[in-house]
Amino acid sequence: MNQIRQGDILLVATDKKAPAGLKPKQSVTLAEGEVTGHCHTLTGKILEWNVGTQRYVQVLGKPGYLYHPDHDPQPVAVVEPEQTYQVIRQQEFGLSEQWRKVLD
Amino acid sequence: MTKRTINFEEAKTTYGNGNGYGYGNGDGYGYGDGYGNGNGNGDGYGNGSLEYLVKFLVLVADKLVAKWVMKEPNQELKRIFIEAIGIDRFFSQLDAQVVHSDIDGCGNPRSLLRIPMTETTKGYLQAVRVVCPTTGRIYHLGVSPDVVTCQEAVASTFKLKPNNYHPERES
Repeated sequence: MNQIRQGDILLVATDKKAPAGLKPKQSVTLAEGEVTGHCHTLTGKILEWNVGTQRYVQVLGKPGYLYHPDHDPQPVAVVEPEQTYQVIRQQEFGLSEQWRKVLD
Repeated sequence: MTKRTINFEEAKTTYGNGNGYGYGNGDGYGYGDGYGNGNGNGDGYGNGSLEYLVKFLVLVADKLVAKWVMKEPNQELKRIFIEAIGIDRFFSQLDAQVVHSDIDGCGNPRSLLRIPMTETTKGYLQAVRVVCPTTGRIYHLGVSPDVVTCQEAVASTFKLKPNNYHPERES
């Protein structure tokens, strides 16, 4: 899948390559859930890195599982392995006429 | 979303006794910085600083009413009130003009809404109303006054052009 949305998180497939030497993680919090305390979580064998303000993840070997207590209370294996995804957090245009992060 | 409970006794204790900017019907909160005569009892803010006003408004945000806020003549105060209410609740309480509507990829209706607001650059605020495909909850997200379609509005909330936003799975 090229684009996967879970609430205020969007994963967009990209051809970016992971930097050499990254150590895989078993779990990555994609968003904290600042208001509800409900995090968006990706589990699997995951490489995570940033380029400037852009955030990327890549799952190795098997599909990665997305979990969120409201949106996906049962983890779903929808994140394709060996595919880099950019992690995009939803934003909102505020009264100050500037974009700001949506707090979930 | 966590439901917030307002403790007015606590508000009175915490924020002291100000005079003046009350609203509602004697719910016991207000802002004492000389903004004029409110309808409430005015118990509440005696400090008068913007910082304390914002903290106070967060405490009573659930009691703020969008229609009342729209009548606020002080532009800065109006902006602060709307920020305290939040775009989502603000738009859900008002009869906004529907600029565009369509159906999203999950079969749920979307609407691009507009509310006149002379204080803004374009003279109006815009938000897109969407339905969460899993929870069914309706959300209003503030969007730029320049967008004209729901697809453009939602895509912009993910920093994408309308043609580049096409999630294959949504939850």
